[in-house]
Amino acid sequence: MLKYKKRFIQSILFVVVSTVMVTMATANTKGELLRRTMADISLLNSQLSQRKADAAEIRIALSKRLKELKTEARKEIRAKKITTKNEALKHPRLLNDLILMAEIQAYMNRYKQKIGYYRVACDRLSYLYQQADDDLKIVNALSGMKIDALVSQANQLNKNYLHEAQTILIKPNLLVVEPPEKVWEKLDASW
Amino acid sequence: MTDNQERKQPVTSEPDSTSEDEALDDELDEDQQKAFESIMSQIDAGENSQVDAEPEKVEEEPEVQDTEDDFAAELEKVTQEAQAVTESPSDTKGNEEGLDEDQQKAFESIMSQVDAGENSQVDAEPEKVEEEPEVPETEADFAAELEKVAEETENDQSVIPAEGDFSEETEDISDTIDDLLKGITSEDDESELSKADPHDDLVVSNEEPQDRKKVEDIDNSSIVMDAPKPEEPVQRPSTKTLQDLPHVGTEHSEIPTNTATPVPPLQEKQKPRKRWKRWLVMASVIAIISLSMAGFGYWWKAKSFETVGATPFPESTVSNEKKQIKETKETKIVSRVQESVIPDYGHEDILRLQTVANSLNRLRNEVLEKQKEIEELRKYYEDGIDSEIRGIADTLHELKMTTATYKKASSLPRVRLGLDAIQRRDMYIKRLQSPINELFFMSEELLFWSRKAEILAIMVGKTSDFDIDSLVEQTTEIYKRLKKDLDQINIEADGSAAEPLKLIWKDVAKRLKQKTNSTTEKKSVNTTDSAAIWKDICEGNFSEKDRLMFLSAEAARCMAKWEGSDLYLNQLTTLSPEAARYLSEWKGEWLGLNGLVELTPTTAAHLARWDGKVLSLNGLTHLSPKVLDILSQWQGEQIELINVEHMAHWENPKTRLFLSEDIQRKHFKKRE
Repeated sequence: MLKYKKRFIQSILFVVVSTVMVTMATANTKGELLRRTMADISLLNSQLSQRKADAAEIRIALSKRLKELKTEARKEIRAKKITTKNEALKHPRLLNDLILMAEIQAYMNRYKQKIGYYRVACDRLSYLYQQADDDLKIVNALSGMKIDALVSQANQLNKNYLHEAQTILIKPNLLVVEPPEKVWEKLDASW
Repeated sequence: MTDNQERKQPVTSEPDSTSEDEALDDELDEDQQKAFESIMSQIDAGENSQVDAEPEKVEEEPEVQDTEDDFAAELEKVTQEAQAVTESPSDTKGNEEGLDEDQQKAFESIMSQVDAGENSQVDAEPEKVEEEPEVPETEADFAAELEKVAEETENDQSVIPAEGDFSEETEDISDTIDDLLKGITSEDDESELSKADPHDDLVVSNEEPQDRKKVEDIDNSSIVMDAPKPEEPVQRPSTKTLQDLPHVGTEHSEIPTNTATPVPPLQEKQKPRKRWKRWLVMASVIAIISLSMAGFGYWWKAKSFETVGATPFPESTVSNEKKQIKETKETKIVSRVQESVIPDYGHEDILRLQTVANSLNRLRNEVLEKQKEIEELRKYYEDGIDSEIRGIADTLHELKMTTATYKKASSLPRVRLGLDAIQRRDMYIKRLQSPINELFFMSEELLFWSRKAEILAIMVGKTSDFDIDSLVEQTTEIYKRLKKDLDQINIEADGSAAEPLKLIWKDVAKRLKQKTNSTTEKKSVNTTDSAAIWKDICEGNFSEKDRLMFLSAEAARCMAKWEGSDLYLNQLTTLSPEAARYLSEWKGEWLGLNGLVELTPTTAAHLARWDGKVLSLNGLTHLSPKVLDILSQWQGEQIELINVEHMAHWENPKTRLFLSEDIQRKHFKKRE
């Protein structure tokens, strides 16, 4: 009799534990999907943040180089007593400086655009992450929460931003570089 | 009918439970029988040794008077033993340890009894113990015996807390674990082993061999003995209650106790403990399994979350659609992780660009070196022209032909050769200009591309879509072209014609006139200021010597007599050859002429004969090769030429040469 009781209790316990485990696994499916989505978003967000920091760092380095070139150009202008645009364009060092300054300025403008792009991307990803986090809390507590739209949106965002996550994409051919004459005019005007 | 039979009679005729228990006994006959046998054997043993333990019965039955004293002694002994058991748990423990060999059997016996007791559990009422205070004290041991059976019928967990010994026994963890394991392993064989249990129990507790026989006899009637169990006192036996017998009583008041009474507590201690332990083991096993499953679940979840895509969901919980979504995501994430593993994707491009920039910079340095070399050469020729003009001027001055025409001057061989030298050097200078310009543009172009490569190197590390290959290819071509141009640069390439000597003479005559005028003016001013100092010097007063701006030959002769070691005439801007000749006779160590801006070969030749240690000529910026050659023949220890901008070749290793850092570096580089 006691044996039967024991076996009965053991069976009940086993069934209860198994049921709990299966229920937990089922309930966690959505949660798991959300967690994965959040992990994706977080990874992408951190990568884009890093790219944004990279772009800012490069822009600072370019700015430093531009300043050096400006200083050198002004020294040349003083040393060679260059006053007109034609004289400036005939002077090889000054002409080269003006060309490089124009290129650097074009790159800096592009990096500025990129920084803005990454900022927007990070903001959108942060918003999605927050939404996924909110949904996860509900999924953990209640059933019936629909997360398909969120997951789909996150996937779409990931797809859109993924190619920008690893490296900063700049098409040099599409850069708008000013001619040296225009740079000379700006340089001359800034004195 | 024996006493046994008489005493059994009321027990067997117990009306309350017989009918019910008999029905149950059909299922557990053997167990009940064994339990009963164990009890009866103890009872018989007590009867054989002591007919009656009750004082009342002694009075009613004088024929058993002899046994009365024995019984009292036995009772006292039993009480002492029981007390000893309660007071010294270690002794009990020792008993248990002593029973280790038989423990298995004893446990099985207990279990069989418990199983038997479960069937008659209903009748176990502890209240009855208190409802029967009239039970004589002599019946206490027997009651304790019966109580054991009653205990077996009770709920095990209700017995355990009442046992004072159990709490102490729990201290022996190792024993407990052994018992538990034995209990578990022997569970399946309980039914078989239980047959021998009562016997084993009695063997453990038996003091007299006769009892064993009686137990065997009683085995046959054990079915009957199970009936009165429910009516037996249910008081939980403890060593203390064994001593306080008066409140314990049953219908079997006439049954005396015997010396085997200490045995039941041992049985009672082992039995509930093992049952409790078995439950504990079962609960522990279930808990461990549950925890393991839960832990595995969490581990699996955590692992799948960490190593994304490494562990799939269980098939039972994930639909195919979700699987597909998950697989796509996993693939995506894995590929992303793989991508992010690449540490320096632009490192190679950076290295290439840096290599390009370095190559261009190296070539540019070569260009600049060449450019500087040519500049020096041009300067050398310019100095040579100045030297020739001074030579011509000195010649014409000596010949008092300062106003001579080209025809007259060129008739003089020295002037003519001087003019030819000027013409040649002037031509060289003009020819050198072209390569200098070419080198300048080359260096600027190289600088431009080098800077471009450096700027790209800033970006390419963290930015893609730069056409590095194209840039490298372009710069390589530029490098090759400029390298070739650099190697081909020479003075012969320029075919500029030499200037006519007449034009050169005009230029020389013009400069000669300017020079004569300026020298005369300067000399007149200096002479006026320095005349007073010359007089003092020649009179032996040297205190104003360092203010001299012009030194005549006569004053130099007086100065040479000064006996000091360091003579600084740094205000002198010119020094005539005659003055230099007298100064070279001064016996001192350091001669400072840092005001001189030019030095003619004749003056230099006189100075080179001075027998001193240090000669300072830091006012000179240019040295003609001839002057340099003359000065290098000086045998002093050190010569200072800090402001000289171009230095050709110094051939006197004995004399230490003090030059500017740039010239010195270049000078030593050439020597290497």
